[in-house]
Amino acid sequence: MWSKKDNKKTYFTEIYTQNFEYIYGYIFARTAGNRELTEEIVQETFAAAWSAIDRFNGKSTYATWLCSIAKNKLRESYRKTIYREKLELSDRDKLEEYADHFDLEKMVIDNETRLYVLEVLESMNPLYRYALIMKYIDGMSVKEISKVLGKTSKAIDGVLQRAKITFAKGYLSLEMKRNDENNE
Amino acid sequence: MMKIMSERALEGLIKTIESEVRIPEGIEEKILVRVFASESEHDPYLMPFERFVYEKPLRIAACISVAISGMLWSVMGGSFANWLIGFIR
Repeated sequence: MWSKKDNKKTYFTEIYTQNFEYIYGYIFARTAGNRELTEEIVQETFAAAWSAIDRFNGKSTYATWLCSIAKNKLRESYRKTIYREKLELSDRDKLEEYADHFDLEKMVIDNETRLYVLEVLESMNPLYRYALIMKYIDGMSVKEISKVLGKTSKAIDGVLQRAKITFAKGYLSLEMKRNDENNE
Repeated sequence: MMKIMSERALEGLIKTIESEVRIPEGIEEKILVRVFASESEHDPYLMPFERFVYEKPLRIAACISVAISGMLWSVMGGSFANWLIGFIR
């Protein structure tokens, strides 16, 4: 397929340039904005693509192909991170009753909000973080998440419940802090 | 159980992380260099024939030995068998 190494490199560089931003953004969101991890997975994704470029069958677009490689690399990373950090459920993760006082319509989605979301996700247990990302960003079902993370559906159900509460509490406390600062 | 935040609000918030990302300057070039560098360290670029020789050395050795035997047979004719037996002994 390639007469010379340089031809292959030029061709790959073109694909790389066309898809870099998309793949970077895709991975960035799914690592909850962790720049270091994003860089690592982006590199692993393109390195895998570079070594397999001869086997690309052309049945999908390069973006789709790269995305599926990135998805696998992300899942490997999720599993590694989750098993490295033991899941410990603290008291603050317990299911508690709260008034439903958070209204999406009143919520201003600005860059600051996004930064808060990233901050809260980053501070969460990796299992909670990745369960939320898979559920809300990738739209995966509980069964699918349980397969990726090697846990039972029941366990993931519980994890998601706790993750939602941890996230909501973390976000609301940041919101309150922001409001206090604005009032001062 | 009442919720601290509605499902919709939570989903809306989490989805904000999918918005446009500012890529640090120079990172695209840096990663590309690393991708090519890692390939040359672990999997040097080989021509298809070189790759075949590298991956299937036994097949190559068998092909070479059959070719040499055939050549010697054609040159030596009937005495090739005697020569081979003598060579092995």
